[in-house]
Amino acid sequence: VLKEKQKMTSVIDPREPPYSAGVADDLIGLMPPAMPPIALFRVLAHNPRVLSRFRAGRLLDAGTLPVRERELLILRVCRRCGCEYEWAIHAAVFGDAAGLTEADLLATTQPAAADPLSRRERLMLAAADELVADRTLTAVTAMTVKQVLSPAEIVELIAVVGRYIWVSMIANTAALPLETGMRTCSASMN
Amino acid sequence: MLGIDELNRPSAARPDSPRIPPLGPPYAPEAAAALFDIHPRESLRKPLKLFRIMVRNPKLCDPMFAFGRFMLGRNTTTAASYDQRTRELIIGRVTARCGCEYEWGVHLAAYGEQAGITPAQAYSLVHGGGADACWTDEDRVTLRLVDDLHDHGSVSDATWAALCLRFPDTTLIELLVLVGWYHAIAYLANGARVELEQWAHRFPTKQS
Repeated sequence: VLKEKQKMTSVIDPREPPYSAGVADDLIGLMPPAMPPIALFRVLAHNPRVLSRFRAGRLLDAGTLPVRERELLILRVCRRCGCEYEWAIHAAVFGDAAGLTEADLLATTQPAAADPLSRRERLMLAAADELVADRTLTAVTAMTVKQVLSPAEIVELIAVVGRYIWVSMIANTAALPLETGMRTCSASMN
Repeated sequence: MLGIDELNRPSAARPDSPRIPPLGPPYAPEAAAALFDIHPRESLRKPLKLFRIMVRNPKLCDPMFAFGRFMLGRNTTTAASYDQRTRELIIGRVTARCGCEYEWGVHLAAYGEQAGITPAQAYSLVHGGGADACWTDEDRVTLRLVDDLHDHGSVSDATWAALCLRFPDTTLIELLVLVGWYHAIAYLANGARVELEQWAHRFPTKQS
């Protein structure tokens, strides 16, 4: 299924420079220092208002969830959304800082995530799976989530899942090829 | 007699003694064909001394003049896609960094005004750099591209990221080649010790 999606015609191509001052400012702000803007942000640059709201809506600063859990969630959502583009970026750019091992990365790509993830992490990925598939939680998962996560954590989980569905839709419909130097998620299954 | 140290120093150039003298009229047919391919016959100026040196090798003139036309052409569908100011800042900085007063002065006289290069900026190209107050941030990025390549043979990540906000990949390729091309021109002019054009600008005198 993923292969077919990648062959899809792009509905919109990344914007080419030069950019207006406002767009350039947002692109710089979204990237680490001394890095050219990635294609995802250049697609958003077609709509400066949406780009600036996207920048304001980042959830990658210190949030309620530990970085490790946040990144596992993001990888899971991207994988479930068939978005290899964003999966690869997070695996490469945030994986080490989040303390993710190869086995952790692999776990985000497996049908039922198990070892080496903790019980809490597995619960969060199951919740993410349900949210991606049905935009809600089954009664069993909802009950467990309520027992294990705080209200603030639940809000953050849903927000992170929603944001990366959004990101995946942009990357998928634009049929973005992997950024340079990124490896594929299938490579981690070999 | 010059001492051995002076002979070994590239800067021992005596401007009155070109190593490869420019050809003058009457030109042999091959040389004339090459020369008046690049230099309009109806021009009031004599062909550039640099061209009159190059036409000693008419075979090399064809590809070099064609390439020069691509780099300097204004029709962006057939020639390079960068804007004239970026182009002239690059040429001005490369030739200054190479100590090539000949090509620096020719370009400043021919294109400096069109490209909006002020006297303060002309001075800064030769004796200063991007830190000077006379530049915009965009200009500074352009100068950094030249300085990075001249000093290190490559482009720093910070410079590259800034360039990527201004130019698509197609233009970036052209800019990298442009920097290299004017190094080649500077080497040719310096190495052959071409005499300065009478009408061209001179390097500004350094102020202490």
